[in-house]
Amino acid sequence: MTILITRPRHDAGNNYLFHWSKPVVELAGNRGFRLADLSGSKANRKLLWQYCKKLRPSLLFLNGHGSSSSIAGHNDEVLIQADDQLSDFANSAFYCRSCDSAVLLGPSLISSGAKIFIGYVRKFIIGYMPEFMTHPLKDPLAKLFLEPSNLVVSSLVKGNTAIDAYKKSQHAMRANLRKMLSSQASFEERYHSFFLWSNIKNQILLGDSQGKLS
Amino acid sequence: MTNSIFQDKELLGKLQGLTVARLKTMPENTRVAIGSQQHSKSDLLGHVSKADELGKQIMIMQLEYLQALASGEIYKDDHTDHPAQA
Repeated sequence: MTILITRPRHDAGNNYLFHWSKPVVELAGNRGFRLADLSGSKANRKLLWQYCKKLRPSLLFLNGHGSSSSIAGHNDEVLIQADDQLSDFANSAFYCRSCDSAVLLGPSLISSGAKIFIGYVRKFIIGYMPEFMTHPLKDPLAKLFLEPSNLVVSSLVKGNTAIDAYKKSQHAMRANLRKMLSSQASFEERYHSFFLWSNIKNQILLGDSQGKLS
Repeated sequence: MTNSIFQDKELLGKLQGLTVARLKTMPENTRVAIGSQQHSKSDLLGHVSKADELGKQIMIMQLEYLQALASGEIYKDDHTDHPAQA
């Protein structure tokens, strides 16, 4: 099975997504998946569609900026939009770690035959500390936002159903939220809890909730 | 609910004041990435004060968060209140 990942890195938000996708890339590789890792400038529309037509990925893990009807890659080039020929993605699963794309793009993919779509109906938000900009994986604030979102993909890769992957991510976000509200939390963590709550409430699953990667 | 809040100047003013007060307590040494923009505490305060599109979204986030705190929803760990959509 093939996993296609886009992870542009042309701004701070994307740079965090780029680095935080690495653990998932490594896990998928260790589990024997074939990887199409479109990182940096490779996260462009031409390559994505070429790879998809050739490899028919089981899972597309798309990181980048989004709108209600599209998701973007390097330099915010639109990679997939709701009025594309989406039947090319029949039977694929999607996790779009982006803003808004579960509003129109997700339903369009599902109605065109995609099996699973997990994404966000509003903004996907990352809290972070600029002092860790060159080492995003060591940023304790960003970890609270991005580690639970990685669980969507790592759970699917481990053979879980879509609903279990979704629930594991939700559970981990809620656990982090409770930590942020506790006396153990740092000053920085406590005051970013309402952003994490927004991610929790706006993450949705569309399509075959009992589906797995195939 | 969202539109009615922003059409009612009194409600908008109250929500703006509440959100500004809470944002002022945020630390200075952090940022949030929302879409393609990175925002400092002062950026967020500016958007809320102007009540522009992002400012309104932040006000709604804050309102929903406080409602969830008040109702106890935030401390639940089940998903029955936010089911996956089939």
